[in-house]
Amino acid sequence: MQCTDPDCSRELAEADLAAGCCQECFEMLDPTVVLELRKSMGIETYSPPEIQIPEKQEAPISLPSFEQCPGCFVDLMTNDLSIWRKGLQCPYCQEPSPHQNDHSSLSSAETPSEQQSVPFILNSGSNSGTVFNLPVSQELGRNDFRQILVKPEYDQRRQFLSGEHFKIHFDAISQSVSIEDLGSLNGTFINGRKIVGPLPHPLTHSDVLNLHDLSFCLGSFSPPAIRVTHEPSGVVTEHPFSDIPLKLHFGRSNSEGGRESWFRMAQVEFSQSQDKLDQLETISRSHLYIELERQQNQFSLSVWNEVAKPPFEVQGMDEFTITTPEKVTQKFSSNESKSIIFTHGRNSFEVAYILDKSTT
Amino acid sequence: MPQPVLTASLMKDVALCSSPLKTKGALTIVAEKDLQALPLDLLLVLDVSGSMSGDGISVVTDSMVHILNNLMRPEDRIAVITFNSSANVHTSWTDVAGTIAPLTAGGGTNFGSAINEVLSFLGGNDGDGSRAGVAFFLSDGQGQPAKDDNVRSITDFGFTMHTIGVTSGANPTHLEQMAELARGHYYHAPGFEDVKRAFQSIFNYGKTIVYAAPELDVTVPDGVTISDVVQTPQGLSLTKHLGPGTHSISLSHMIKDTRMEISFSVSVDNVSCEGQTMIATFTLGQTTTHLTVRGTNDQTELYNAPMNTDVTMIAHSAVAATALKQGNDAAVTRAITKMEKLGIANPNANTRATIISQATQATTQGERMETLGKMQSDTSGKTKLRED
Repeated sequence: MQCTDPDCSRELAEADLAAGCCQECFEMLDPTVVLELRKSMGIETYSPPEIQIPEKQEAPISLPSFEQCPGCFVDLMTNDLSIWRKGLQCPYCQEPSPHQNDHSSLSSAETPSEQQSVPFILNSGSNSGTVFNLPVSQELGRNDFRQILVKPEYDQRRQFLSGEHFKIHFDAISQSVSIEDLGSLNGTFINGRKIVGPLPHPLTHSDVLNLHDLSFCLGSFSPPAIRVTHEPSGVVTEHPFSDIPLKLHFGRSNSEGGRESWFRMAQVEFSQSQDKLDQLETISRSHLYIELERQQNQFSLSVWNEVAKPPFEVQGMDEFTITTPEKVTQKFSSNESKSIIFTHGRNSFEVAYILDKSTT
Repeated sequence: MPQPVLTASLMKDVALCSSPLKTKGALTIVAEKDLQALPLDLLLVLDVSGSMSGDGISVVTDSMVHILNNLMRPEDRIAVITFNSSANVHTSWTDVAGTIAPLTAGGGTNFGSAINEVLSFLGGNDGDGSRAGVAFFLSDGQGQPAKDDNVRSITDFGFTMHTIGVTSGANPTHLEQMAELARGHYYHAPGFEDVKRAFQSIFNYGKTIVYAAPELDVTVPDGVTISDVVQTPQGLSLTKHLGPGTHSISLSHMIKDTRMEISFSVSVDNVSCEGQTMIATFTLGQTTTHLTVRGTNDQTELYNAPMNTDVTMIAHSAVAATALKQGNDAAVTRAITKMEKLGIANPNANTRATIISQATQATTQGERMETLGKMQSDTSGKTKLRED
């Protein structure tokens, strides 16, 4: 094509396109000419590099599950809802519940998508090992824990909770639990890390929740199969069938270099006593490993020690002392309960296999 | 001490190497923000030929008295040179406390002697840049022309000269050329009643000057030619051709909060394949900027290199203003169309195109050129018409 200047008859070529200007008369090429020139020379049109729009992360808004009472149109939530679903009448207008004819019990009527509570194992004080179902999507604080932790020994610890301390979220689709700090004074700690901000912090199984010196451990939704108790701290962790094959570690550090859950909770429990802390530290950072596998109706339990670490005594399997990194494997039937105790000095771990009564 | 900001750019900052290049470039000058306006030296060069007697003389006298009594600041000065067949200093520099004797009219018109008188009068004036000098040349007739070089040397004294043509008898093109040589603007006064407005306008312009007729030094290396140097948006032709060597160009006064734009064409004999090829060095006072181009062989990079829309707009506006002065309507329309197309990428081009197309609507050439003279670009490149 020709230069657009009427006084110039130059046939435009690559050099003109490169300079953006007629190389004869300085006539500037306007965008339409540039496009035509590119087309005639078979040069594809220039498109600027694509820019990806970053995804904006926002706190998910999870609506609490509710049902509307047909009598007074009140949205029944939390306790009111559970009463309503049990078949009792509406607490506001005494409207009879349509659920009274439901045959199924509460637990089975509730599908996981309507999860009302999340199990947490208390690992502080004399009630250690107790499982509490904490309600989801509710502000939890001092008063809620007064009803759970009734013993006077917990009075001191409860003082460090705020009136509205934290909130647990449950996402029905991904079946995931997360926790949000509600701006508490003394903070909410997950695995020793303070959580801040409006974004709920995701929780996974065996994560440790610390509210000042109260320790909780996220339990399992399904009935536990393995229950591990550390003596003398009384710290308990639970593992459902779905966790098997399971690898347990009785050492202080986990594979990421952080502290193992049991050790973290035991440390908090013994924080007042240097003597007990010293006892705890006789266990090495990496020490005893236990692996549990299931083959149909049989479990195979393998135990081995980290190289050059003090031995554990074992009770409940064939009694012996584990001194070597070589695996010692035993099989036992899945139809019987079993309890094995691993002892090292004043520390011991009880690994209990609990029969799933619903399957038998 | 703050310095003006000089920015020199080409349409594309890359070019095909080992080959010649023709392209457009632009230099913009933006003065420091909080600069104080300079004191003003106002030199009136008045036609007192026979045709000015009566109305003409009384309007001019009224305007001068108005400036002296109402507009002048204490630091400003005024002087008057009158001319007919010959020229005289009527009133030497006087401040707001001084007086101007009445004018008398009679005789012919000789522009040449007027300019000579201006030069000899200014010869005793030290143009050190601390004062802004504005001369204005008023005539209602066609006189014997002055030599271009003489008119041009007015800027050597830190003065620019505006011209007012009372078009009942004057030739606007001629007066416009004089204004351009002396880096001033042309003011259009169809009748004597418009002279007062023009006086006021020039005075108000004078009060906003921050740099008095600055000198721009341009150093061009061997193998490079710079041509068609035009100051926009007024379309003041600064020079036609700059070969290798160092050149000094007088610019017009720099007005507060405006951007001075200079468009030019660049011809490079051979673009080097390694590093930057030097095109020119611009120096204004203490500030220096280098204009370079990077040579490359990468075709895709060359084709896809973005066009600098500011340079393109300035270049189009120079073309449009020059064509407007020459009365070449077809070329003006073409330039306006190109600027409008550019408006998608650079909104400043749109406003400028609108103002230029408004200027083309004017019925007389004098009005068109007055509009051109009033165009100014703010520091961001947005064009507006100066209001007086």
